[in-house]
Amino acid sequence: MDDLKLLMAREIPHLRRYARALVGDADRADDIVQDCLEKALRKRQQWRRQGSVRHWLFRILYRCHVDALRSRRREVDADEYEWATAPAQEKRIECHDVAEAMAALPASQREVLLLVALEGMSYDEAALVLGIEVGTVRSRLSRGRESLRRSWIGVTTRLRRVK
Amino acid sequence: MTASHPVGETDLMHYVDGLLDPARRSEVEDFLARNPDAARRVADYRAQNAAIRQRFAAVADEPVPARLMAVLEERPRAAPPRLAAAAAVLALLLLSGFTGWMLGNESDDPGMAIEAFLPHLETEDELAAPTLVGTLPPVDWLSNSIALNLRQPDLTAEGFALERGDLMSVEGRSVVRLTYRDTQGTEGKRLRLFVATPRPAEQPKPRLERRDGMGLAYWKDGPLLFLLAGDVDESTLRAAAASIHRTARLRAPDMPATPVHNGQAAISPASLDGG
Repeated sequence: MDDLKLLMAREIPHLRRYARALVGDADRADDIVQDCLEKALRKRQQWRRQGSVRHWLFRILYRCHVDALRSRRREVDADEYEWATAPAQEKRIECHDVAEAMAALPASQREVLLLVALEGMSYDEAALVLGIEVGTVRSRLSRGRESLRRSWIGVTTRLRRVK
Repeated sequence: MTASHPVGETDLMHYVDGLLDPARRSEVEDFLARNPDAARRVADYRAQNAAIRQRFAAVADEPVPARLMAVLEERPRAAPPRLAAAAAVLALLLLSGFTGWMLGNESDDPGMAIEAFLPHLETEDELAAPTLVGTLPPVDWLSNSIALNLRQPDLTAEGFALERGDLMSVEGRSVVRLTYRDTQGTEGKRLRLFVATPRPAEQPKPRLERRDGMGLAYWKDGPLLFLLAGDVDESTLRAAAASIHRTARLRAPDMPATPVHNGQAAISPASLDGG
């Protein structure tokens, strides 16, 4: 295995984790990671221009995710489509599982929040991966966190309510 | 950032995500001590971060599924593994006239049709037509066609690993193209080696030259023509060409696996380094 492949292998656990958190289902998540790795190898001469292997792979992963979502949406019926894309802010939902609460967020907010909170990326890095402005990263992050505050019945929220 | 810089929303977010330097962090902490609403909000956000991390942490610790590792372990499609392991190399050819590299430029007559190969330097798979080969890897095919075994050149010592091998057609003749990738630097530079049988008029003298920023080295080696090309500096190209010249010697088919020391066949590596 050459150097680039070793660097790529090291990122697989991170890629899997992010993909799993994005789509929920383990097999679907690994499909996206596999797609990402294959694409990365085909385009391996590009990676030097993109900075670190990590960001380059996450960019590819994100595009694979969007592509997978798009082709999946063609397959699912309208009801499921509505469910998958409906903005969560308007709903009064309460979740005990943070993953459930995350899943109810609009995708654009979930993508950013997971990169920052789960993968520890800076806002600049997240902007690079998602191909958006850093200001957009900040505003999506803010909105996502405020939504979570309302929907997720986490430890601190519960304590505060008890008071 | 100065001490008087007011703490804003961005600071709070950066604080939540651990993106502040220590000085600014303590300023934000002072601010939070005086602003309980902001402090509660920040505490909630931090609890969210912690919960998200905890919730998905296990995924990163799972063993990586075999199908994902298989993507990385896949060998270059056409690379012949068994030739790389060829132990014995019997030099059959005494290479005369290979005393040094000439530095050339485009106006000189290179003694071979360089231009035919140039379009295949940068392209990827679409021009490579791995037909004709059947189950044989390209180097084996070429070995059969010249009835001599060719050893696949190994550039590990020069920092290049074989990435793929293709059998392709260049202006009507079959050419083996081997692609090597730089394993040392981070830039992933590429070397491409073309091996073909020469046409009668092709009698190139060993030569190094540069065209369109691409380093080219070519030479004729017994019944074979070699063209090495890559966006690398002259010393790298020279070293790689010398190594190929040294290691791609031909061995007779089905010869015993013991190196035969034959004065006639000995090619001094030093003869390549001059010029």
